[in-house]
Amino acid sequence: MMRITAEAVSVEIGGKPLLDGVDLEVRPGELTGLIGPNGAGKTTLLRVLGALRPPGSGRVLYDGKTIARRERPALARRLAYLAQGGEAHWPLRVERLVALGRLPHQGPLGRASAEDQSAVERALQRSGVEHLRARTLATLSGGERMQVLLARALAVEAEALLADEPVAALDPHHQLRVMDLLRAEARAGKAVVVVLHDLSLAARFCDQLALLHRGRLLAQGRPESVLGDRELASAYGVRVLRGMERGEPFLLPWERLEAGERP
Amino acid sequence: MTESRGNAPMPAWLLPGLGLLVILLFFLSLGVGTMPLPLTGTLAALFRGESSLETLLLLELRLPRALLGLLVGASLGLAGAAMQGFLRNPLAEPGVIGVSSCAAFGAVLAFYSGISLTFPLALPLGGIGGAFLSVLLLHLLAGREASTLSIILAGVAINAFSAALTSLVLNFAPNPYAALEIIFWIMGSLADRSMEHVQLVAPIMLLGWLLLLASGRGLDALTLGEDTAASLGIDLGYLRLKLILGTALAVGAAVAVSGAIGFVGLVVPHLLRPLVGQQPARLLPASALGGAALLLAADLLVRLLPTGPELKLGVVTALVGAPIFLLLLHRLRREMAE
Repeated sequence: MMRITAEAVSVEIGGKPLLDGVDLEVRPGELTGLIGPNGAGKTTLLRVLGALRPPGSGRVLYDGKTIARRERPALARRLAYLAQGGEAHWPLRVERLVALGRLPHQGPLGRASAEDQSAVERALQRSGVEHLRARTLATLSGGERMQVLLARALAVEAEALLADEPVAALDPHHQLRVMDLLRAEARAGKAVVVVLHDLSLAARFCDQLALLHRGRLLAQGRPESVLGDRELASAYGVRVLRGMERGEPFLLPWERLEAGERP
Repeated sequence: MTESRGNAPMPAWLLPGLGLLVILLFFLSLGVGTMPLPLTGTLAALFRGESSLETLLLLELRLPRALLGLLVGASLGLAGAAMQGFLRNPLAEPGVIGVSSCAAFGAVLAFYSGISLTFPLALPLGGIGGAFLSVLLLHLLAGREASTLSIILAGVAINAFSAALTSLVLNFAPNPYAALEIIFWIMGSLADRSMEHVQLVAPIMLLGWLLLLASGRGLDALTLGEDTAASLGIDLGYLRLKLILGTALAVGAAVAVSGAIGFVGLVVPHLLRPLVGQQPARLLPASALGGAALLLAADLLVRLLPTGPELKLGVVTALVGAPIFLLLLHRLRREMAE
């Protein structure tokens, strides 16, 4: 069980602020969604949460403690990161690719243990890509590719999973499949953070949302409180249609707002 | 299609098989030359402690040549595989990207200036310095997530620059013979080297090999990009340092003692990659053995070919390697167009 806390995190590149005083708490057992328009700082925040870049100011705590450089390898066993638009630079077969998720658990000589083997099998199975094990990423469809990369992240068997736009390029079937899987991971006790563009998926699947706009946290909390008309108008500049299906909400971006109409 | 071509797991025989091949070629290299040498008899005499013209020939001429073939070949093969894993591109090779020519310039500077006469270590140090600068420059020019195009262009620039500097040295040569000596040396050869050469560069190369072989895990992780590698606990700064320093030591020392022998680091990993399941870490030891085997074989070839003056080793590897480079480039042209 891992709790990730961002405290007053700011990041600047060349005087341009990417993140500005962001406070966020990612709790175990919850699916946290990061939403916001393009360039709002979602990926930057996810990378800071994953200790892939240090915050310019502020700090990130893992179970209340900061991470020193020499502790980074140990954190790799506890926190998995799924990068955006992932690709493989070499045509490794899928099972070898998924097995890369076991690197943090292996010694310098990289011998795979029986535990590593079964973790890879579990990951292939949970992500539903067992039948693709002898293929290479380049021969798969976009949806299958994302499932394989997700299996790689699951193979770490970490306490936290950070996923950057895992459903962005997927068809509706695969989108639902990946979101179901992420929610199941959270229900199993993991802290899961996902960057999303689809507001309906965010409303329906996430326990907590953080709405970023120009590097600042515009709203944070339960989906129904974050996805208000006012918040969406000022972050995205859109008006949405809303509805309910069997007790679950959906939102449809309907029209752009002119500059004067944005709060 | 359930099985993709060339990504099957590494067969268990690969490394022992390559090792045997290297040993076989090593002894062939001891036995072959302009003077016939009864190898088993001479070796037996050597073990009995006898001294004859044959044992002298073996120890002073054949052994250094075979040892350098092994060491230089392994260094070039290993460095090629490591650079390709580092830059995530099958075209990254010490010769193609300018590391060899920069190392050659460093070595030329060391012996042309005469420093290497009084201080022999200056020769490999010059090579290492040149190689180090070129890898560093390439890393800065081509950037982190470098495309094939940017790597090749950076290589062209580095090659052009080091060629210009070497020409500058040739320009200042006091007489045509000194210039000719440098030109012939740059062509790359293992002929007429002594055990002193071996002793000078072997420890440096071994240190480079250790650094490169220790990068395997990191190279595997880099398959999925830098962020994913970092999330898997790989310290990217430390990994880059190991790879740049390891390549500089291995290639710099190899070039300092043998001149510029190109394309070994391109051809060998290219041939072996399908046999190791495309995995960068497993490619490292296989490419070291494969590089040693290829260079020993090529050096046998130049000795056996009935050409007037002996062909330079670097000329042969380039004649074989350049077409393979073009073939690879042709295959990657779609990626280049992007």
